This record gives sequence, structure tokens and C-alpha cells, in this order.
Amino acid sequence: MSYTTTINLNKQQTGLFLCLGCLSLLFTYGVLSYHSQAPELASRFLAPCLSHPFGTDWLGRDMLIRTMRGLGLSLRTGLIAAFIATIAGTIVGIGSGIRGGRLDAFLTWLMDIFMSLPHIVLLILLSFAVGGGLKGAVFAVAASHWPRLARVIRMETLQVRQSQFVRQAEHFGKSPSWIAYKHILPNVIPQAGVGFVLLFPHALAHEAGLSFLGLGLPPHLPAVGVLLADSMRHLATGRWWLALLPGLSLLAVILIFDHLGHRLQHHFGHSTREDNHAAH
Amino acid sequence: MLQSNNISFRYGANHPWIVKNGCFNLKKGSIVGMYGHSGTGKTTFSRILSGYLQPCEGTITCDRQPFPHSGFRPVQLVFQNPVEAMNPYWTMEQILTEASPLDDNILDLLEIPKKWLARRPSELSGGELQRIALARVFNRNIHYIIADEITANLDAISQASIWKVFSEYARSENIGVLAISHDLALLEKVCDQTIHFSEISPSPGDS
Amino acid sequence: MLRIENLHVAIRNGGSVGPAPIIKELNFTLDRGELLGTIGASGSGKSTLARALLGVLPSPVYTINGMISFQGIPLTGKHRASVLKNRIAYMPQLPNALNPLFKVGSQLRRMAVRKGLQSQEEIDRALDSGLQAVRLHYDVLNLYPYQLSTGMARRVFLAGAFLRTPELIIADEPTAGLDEELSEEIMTIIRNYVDNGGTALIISHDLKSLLRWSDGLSVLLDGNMIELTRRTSLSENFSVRHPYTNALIDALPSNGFNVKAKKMDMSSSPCPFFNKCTTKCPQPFELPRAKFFVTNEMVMCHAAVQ
Repeated sequence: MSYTTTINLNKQQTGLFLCLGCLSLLFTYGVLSYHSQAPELASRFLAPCLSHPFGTDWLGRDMLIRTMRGLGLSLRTGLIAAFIATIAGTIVGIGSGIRGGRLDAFLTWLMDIFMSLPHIVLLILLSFAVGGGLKGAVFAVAASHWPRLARVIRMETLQVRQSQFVRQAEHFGKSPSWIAYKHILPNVIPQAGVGFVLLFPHALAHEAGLSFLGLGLPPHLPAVGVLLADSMRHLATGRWWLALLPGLSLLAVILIFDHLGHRLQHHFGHSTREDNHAAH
Repeated sequence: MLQSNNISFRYGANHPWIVKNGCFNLKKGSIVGMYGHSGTGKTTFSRILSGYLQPCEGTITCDRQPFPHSGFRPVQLVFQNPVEAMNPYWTMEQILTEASPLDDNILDLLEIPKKWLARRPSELSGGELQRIALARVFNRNIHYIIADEITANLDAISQASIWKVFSEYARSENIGVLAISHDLALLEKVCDQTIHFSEISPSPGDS
Repeated sequence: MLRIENLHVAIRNGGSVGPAPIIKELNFTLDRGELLGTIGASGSGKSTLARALLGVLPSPVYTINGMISFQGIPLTGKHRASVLKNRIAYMPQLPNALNPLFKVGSQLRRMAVRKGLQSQEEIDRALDSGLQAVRLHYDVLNLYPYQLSTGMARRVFLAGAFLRTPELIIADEPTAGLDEELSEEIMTIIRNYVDNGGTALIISHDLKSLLRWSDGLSVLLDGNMIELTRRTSLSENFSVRHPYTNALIDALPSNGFNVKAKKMDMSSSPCPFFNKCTTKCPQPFELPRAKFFVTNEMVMCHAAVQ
């Protein structure tokens, strides 16, 4: 009779568990704002210790809570941006692949243009053009990331178009838009989903970068990038925890979602049609 | 009548002719069997006759009109592997209603129980899917059906019962059927007349 | 030669429901020098059986219980690789199972080396006898797989199996996709091999060719082997006991192309054939038990014709 029970999680379950944990951060921005984030000047610049695992900042605010709030905000922004990019990419991808011809040629040209510009430059330009801030960050990330997904979706669309059931639908007199909605879309959604999950950590990282440069979220919305920008000033005075710990947390979240995205990509493969009749 | 007039086809200028000057007529209400060696072009011919491939030379006329290239085609093809012509994400109900609204008589005729309607292609066996594929083309707007080895992967009982229903339906609804198979005994039992592919297209296939 | 005892194979469906059985309690033996044909509809478990015999069912997805032994050697774990390499040959269901990048000749030579042949002479001799067994001209060695027709590709694969004459051949749908003439060629080759001391297990849905070429016929329905019958010579007919087997034979176009009307009684019974069986069943609510006969035959039916 053993008194200890071990929870045996296999790799998949661990990954999912971690992701869910990270997603719960989405709520921290709302919930934790009720915690005191008021300055407590008595405990300024405390190094990491038991009561403040991430230390405190120049106003005595607990860094762990600040980091969690920041991540929550960044996650939300990243999610919105990734979502917009995915929707746009899917629509363009299907629209481009479904008929071919001039529309396809134009859209492919557009995708190529976007993808040939250096990422960071594009992000900065777009954010600046819209006036920075939350709007700017979301717009910049979405607008610079949709082409990659659009390409993948376009390829999938072209492939699905060749399948017998699509040709059969044409033989039943169905219009291209009917086929796009009823046949292509369901077959393309898994890849779109994978694309979204992979896009999301990208979006996070870019948003943090933009905010760090001052072109993303404004300073009063404490996203991680803003946090890091503020903390940079204090590195020289040896307060390493102000930058390192939030930075590592951001990195960890990004890696977890990136890993999930790759696992999903592996699971769905590049062909979502399985031949179950070979099983018998 | 579905007519192919001097159809010729090959995959490219450097490829051999797969079909050359193929002439074939299919009357409504008749069931014609076509047999021949594997790989000689029967499948290619069936694709051309049903509109999935364009012939390089020659024309196809359907009821004295040129073969329609848009809209609901009156000539449909049933494949050897029914799974290929079904969207893996769709339910049987969606697959059946794609062509026309559900007809209970047709479902009864092909012994398709209601419980299959909610299933996906991966959940049914080959024989069951072939019945659905046939139900889809048993339709007032379809006048010619080309059956390309439709029972080649099925056991003897499914084969016999499917062909019985198919031939009865074809005769009663005056549908022209071209049945392609390598099983001569099957064709002789089911068809009014049987021809060898070389009689249509006297070119050497690869055998 | 091959003994299967109490084989159960189930597949995990990925849901919270337990594993779904594919093969239920299979028991049979394959004797040396016989060609046993296994017939079954799609979904009967016949392909799973072939893969279970070769041990290629991935383990957490499939659960396998029971015993498979070849000449007394159990076919599990470390034995499998060495036994299979030289003594059991497998012909898969693929139309062209060859590597498209290399010429036929080099692939056959590589197969010979893998079977343990070492000297150039040995390999050449093996290639010669292999090609001869399948009646292919040695010109085929210079072709690439895409240049072969389906029939030729199957024969090349068989030639590979014959490089070092195996003790047992397991063929999964060897005649699928082939017309009458090619089908006959492949089966003649396998028959010759069996007549010259080999043993073969053919898994197929083509009843006509099994009735013509096999010494023994086993019938799978829904994961159960419902009949196993043997005959002493190819010119005899099989003595068939199970109504399903009779119905299958009756439904062949060359026989009667008959399909009897379904029963009106739709009550369920553990017997897998009950809903389509036209014979009156003496015990419809009990699963039929396998009845074995001294002639090494069996049947699983309450109303079996003796």
C-alpha cells in the first residue's frame, strides 16, 4: 500500500496542461488589478525572496504580479492579432486558390511583397502609420503575419480542389463559392487552426518587441514589453531581476505555445485525409 | 443517346495515345459492359465519357446536344473506391443531399438505414459506401451512369445485391449504364451486351 | 507450420469507450505444403490478421492477445525479425511496393543481400531463379518501377520473395486490381511454389480465384472465423457447412448470382450472420461455438450442414 500517489502525465498531457495554465493568464489582467498595485515605497528594489518571488520594482510593486498582469495583457493582444491574421489569411488563401487566374496572380504578388519586406521594419512602419498604441500593435502584427498563413491555406486549397469529391461537386453543378464554403473550408480549417496556434507566439513576441521600442502598447498599459523597457534602465545598477525574470517568463510562454503548435502540425500533417479503409 | 465521336486522348505530345478514334454509343435504358486488360485505357475512356477529362480530338454529344461543361451533368461516374468522391468531413446525409433532396424510396431500394445518415465516410465499410454512392446518382436528372469497377473490392454477396438493384433501377428509369469490369462472368450476367475495349479504340494499349 | 491460438486483436478508438475488437478468438493451423485462402469482406479483419501475423500492429493502438507460432517458434518480439527475414515472405497489398528511385535490378540485388546472400555468384543465381519462378525476362532488371505495369510489379515483388525460397508466403490481396489473365498468372506462380514444397496463406476477397487455387478455405466474418474447410485435391469441391459461405458461393456470377431475400426478423443475436441468414436458427440467442472436425476443419454455426 503506497502512501504517495504519483500523477503520471505523458508528454501530450503535460503540454496541454501548461498551455491551459498559460491561457489562464488571460484573466490575470482583470483579476489581479484588484490587488494592490499601489506604490509601497518601503519595499523598493527588493531582490527575489519568499514574499516577493520576482522581487519588487522601483515603486515597491511586486514584480511577479506585474509580470503576470503584463503577460495577461500581452496574451490578449497577441490573441486578437493572431486571430485577425488567421481570418484574413484564410479568406485570402481560399479566395486565391479557388479560381486561379488574375485574382490568384494579384493576391500571390501581394503576399510576396509583404513577405519580402523585413519583418521588424514592416512592423514599425505599420504601427507608426496607425499611430501606435494598442491599435497599432494589433494592426501591425496582424498585417505583417497574414501572408504566411495565406500561402499555406492557398496550397491546401489547391490540393483540395484536385480531390475527387470537389470535382464531383462541380459535376453536380455547384458554384465555386459554394464549393469554397462547403468543401474547401472544412478541409482547410485544421491547417488554419495550426497556423493560428503557431502564429500566436510570434504575435506575442512581436508585440513585446514593439512595446519595448515604444511603438506598441502605451506605458500605462503594462504589457511585458513595456515592463522590459522600463527595467532596462536598472540593469546597470545591478537589479537584474527586473528584466530577466519577466523576460524569461515571456520566453517560456512563447516556447510553450510554439511547441504546442508544432505538435499539432505534426499531428495533422500536411494532408488531413486519412484512409481508414486500409485499416481493415 | 450518349455518343463519343472519334475521341482521342493522350497526356501530352510525347506520350502514346491512350484512346484513338474511339466511337461508342450508349442508349438510354440499356446496360452495356466493357471489359479489357488492366491499364489499356478503359478508366481513361470512362473519365472522358463522363466529362472529367477533355478529349484531345473528337466530341461527345449527349442527347444530340454537345456535352455540357457547366451545371448539373446528366452523365455521372461511380468510382471503384467510393471514399474518393466523398468529403471526409461530411455526413452521409450531406453527401446524399448534395445531388438532390433525400428520397426515401431510393434509400429503401438500396437498403440504406436511417442510422447511416449521421455517419462519416470513415465509419462505413466499402460496400456500404458504394450503396450511398449509387443512391446519389439515382436521380431524375441523371440519364447515364458509368460504373467503373464499382464492385471490384466487394465480397460476392454485396456485389450481387448491388448489381441486382442497380440493373432493375436502370431498366425501370430508362437510364443508360456503361459497366466497366474485368470480370466477364459478372458482365454477362448483368449486361445486355458486352464489348471489349479494343472494339472501341483499336489502338494498342499496354498489356 | 503456422499455429494460431486464441488470437484477439482490438483497436483503441481514442474515446473513453474501451478498445474495439477486430479479431475475436481466432484458432487455426496452417499445415506445410498447403495453400490456405482466407476470404472476408472489408471490415472482417482480414488485413489486420495479415499484419498481426507479421507483428506490425503498433502496440499502444492495438492490443493483441493469444499465441502465434511458426514451426514452434512464437512470433513475438525478438524472434520475429530473424524468422521473417528468411523464412516467411510477405506480399503486401500495395500495387507497386518498390522504391521508385532505383532500378529493379539493384533493388532485387539489395533484397538478396538482406536475405544473407553474399557472393556475386550466389546473388546472380538467386536473381535468375527468382525471375524464372515468376516468368519474367531478365530485361526487367534494367527498368525503373514506374515503367512496370501493376502485374509486372507484383511479379517482381514475388521474384524478390523467391530469391531465397521461403518456407511460407503470406500474400495480402495478390490479385486485387488485376484482370483475369494476370490474376491467373500470379496464382499459378504461387500454386507452383506450393506444389514444390512451399506453404502459402492468401488473404483475399476474390472468392472465385480462391475456390480455384486453394487447398483450404477459411472464412472471416466480423472478426470471427466462421468456417475452415479443406479438400484433398483441386478438382474436388469444398464441403461447405456455413450458410454465409454458401451464400457467398451462390452469389458468384459464374454460379448463380443469387442473393436470397433478408429475414423479416430483425432481432439481434450474437451470431454475426444472423440478420442476413436465411437458414432457420435453432439457437438464435447464443453465440455459436466453434465445432472442430477430425479433418482439420471447423465451423461456427448452430445450423451447420453436416
